[in-house]
Amino acid sequence: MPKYDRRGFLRLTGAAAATSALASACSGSSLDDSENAGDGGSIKIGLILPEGGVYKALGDDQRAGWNLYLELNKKRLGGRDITVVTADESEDAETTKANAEKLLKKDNCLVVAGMISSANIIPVQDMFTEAKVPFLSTNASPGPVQGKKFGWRSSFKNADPTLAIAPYMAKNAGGPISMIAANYAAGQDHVKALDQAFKAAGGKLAGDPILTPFPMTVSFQPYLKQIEDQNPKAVYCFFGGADAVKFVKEYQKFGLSEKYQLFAPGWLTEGGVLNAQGPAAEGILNSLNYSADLDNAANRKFVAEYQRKNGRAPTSFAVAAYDAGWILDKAIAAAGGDLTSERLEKEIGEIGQIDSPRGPWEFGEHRSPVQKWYLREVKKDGDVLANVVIDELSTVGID
Amino acid sequence: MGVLEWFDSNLVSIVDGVAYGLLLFTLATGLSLVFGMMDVLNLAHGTLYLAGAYLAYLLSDGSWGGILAAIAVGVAAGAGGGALLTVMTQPLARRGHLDQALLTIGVALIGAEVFVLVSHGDPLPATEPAALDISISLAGHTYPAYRLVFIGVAALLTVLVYLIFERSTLGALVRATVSDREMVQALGVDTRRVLLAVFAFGGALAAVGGVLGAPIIGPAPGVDESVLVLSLVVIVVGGLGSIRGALLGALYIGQVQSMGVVLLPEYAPFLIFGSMFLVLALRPQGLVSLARTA
Repeated sequence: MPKYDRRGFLRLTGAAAATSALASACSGSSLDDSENAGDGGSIKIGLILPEGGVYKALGDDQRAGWNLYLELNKKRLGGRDITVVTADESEDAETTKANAEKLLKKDNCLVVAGMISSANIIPVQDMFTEAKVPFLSTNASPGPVQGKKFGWRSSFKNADPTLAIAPYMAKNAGGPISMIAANYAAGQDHVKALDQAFKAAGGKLAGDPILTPFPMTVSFQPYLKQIEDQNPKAVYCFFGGADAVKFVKEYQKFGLSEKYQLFAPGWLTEGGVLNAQGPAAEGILNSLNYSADLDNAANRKFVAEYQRKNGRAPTSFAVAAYDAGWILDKAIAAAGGDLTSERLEKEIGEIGQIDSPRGPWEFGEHRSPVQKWYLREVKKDGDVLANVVIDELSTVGID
Repeated sequence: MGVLEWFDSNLVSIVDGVAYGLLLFTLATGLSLVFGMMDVLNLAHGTLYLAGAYLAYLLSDGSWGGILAAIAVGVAAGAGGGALLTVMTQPLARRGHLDQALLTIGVALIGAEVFVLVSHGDPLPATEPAALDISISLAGHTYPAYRLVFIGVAALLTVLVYLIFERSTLGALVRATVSDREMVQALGVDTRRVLLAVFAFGGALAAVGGVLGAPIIGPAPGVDESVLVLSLVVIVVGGLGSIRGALLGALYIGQVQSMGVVLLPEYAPFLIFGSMFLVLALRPQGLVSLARTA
């Protein structure tokens, strides 16, 4: 009897792949019952963010921003004692939906904040809209949730940084540009936005947008060659996480950084990835709604406190979660004694200008921020690399 | 376009495909031999690569001493990890493939979560020795010097592995154990020790692959899974339980994701699995098959 045969091996590989999917589907549920205090007078607010997995770094930044707001306000929002019920945002949309459903139905949260991934928020937002409980997303903001009732974002709309930087590139790139992006919903959003806004501003693309397989681009070299074949004056790219590190390093190692200025939405070099990219990131021009070096009173206080507590500079992710605390603080205060989910929905809508470390902003018709975007350059700031604001871009998010 | 011009324009992609191919070989060898010998599909194999890449982050500081230290610790950690996995999977040997796969996938999930804890979920920087952290001109094209040296070192490693397994008495014993474990046992050999040695060797090779490969595929959450999938594809394509199969499969997949993308950019997302499908359809036993009778 043979110990194994090829057919058996292939069957096993398939079973293993299925097991892997199953295991990841189960992984989020273990943390469920960690917190469920029901101390009468205090109000319950849900916070759903990744506690593990590939988005943990963003989850950590957002928890740090959220906690900072609470601590600076004596753990009260709108003058009321609060209980924050936490839940895990899993990489698996079904698990995330189940965890969010628990915040809604079992914990009866008055309002829920959080959510990193676009794929996760779409089904969850529908659930909250139907239940008439506000969901304040601190990051995820894809097209399908815009304008939906009982949904708010303190972050941005996906394509905003591209819309903001397109006119600047059309003016300053010095000729046609190449566009390269990870081939999934967010990457395609940016490709579409660039095509539209860049051409409208009089810019020219050097060739068709180059799309790289997501999530498994093993090597960027063949795609860098496609860029060289397009012979552009500059390059615009959209990548995040490990892809962002790999792309930036290979862009430099294969000699493209000397030839073509690299532009990008600011997430390319935001937070921990910049440390991993190192000197290869120097000189990248990027567009974001925040930088730690912004000079305004709210930001000076925010940066000092954040740095003191966390030992690192804050990111745009931390600011969006901090602002979520600010928004709920003011909305709960405005609701006064009549504190229901529906009243809160109304008060968030009437909140007006938000006094944020990123500068003042307000909600647009789509219930996402109308805000100013900044042009940042990756530069040495003392010993460390940082994104330094060098110019203001336009205010976007109006329509 | 003439042949020479075509070659010139694609030289970098071909060379880079070789670099990736050899990197995959360091992973696939252990995976293939361990499955061939022990019927253990080690789904924690990518974790050993990630451990090696993480060691490169910790110890490789741009000096030659740093990378040598990382390699030394990588060999020890990889061999130890392989030995530990042998000890863990052996009691399940009678319970079939799926239980062993479940165990190793559990180890892989724990390993991935531990990495997220120590790295805070961020990709980590892994630097090559400073002397190699430059780009050189390869027939007029810019190419990272480290990758050329990597090709040299990995090729050396490949020759070494090949000589050990295909030309030495020790290797003959391993190959015999792959083909017919009962017969080798009947000859008075304690095959458990052979199994342990092969698992430890495969683990060490994967971890060293991680140390040397860190500047190419760096330590980041999810890297363990993607290199595991790639090495599974390599051994499906190459054929199980043989060094030659792993090498051919690895070089083939290396070129597929490099030259393949250049030639057929619109099919890039499907190339790796498409080429695996092609091999399965045309040569179901893999590129190199071991003659095997029931």
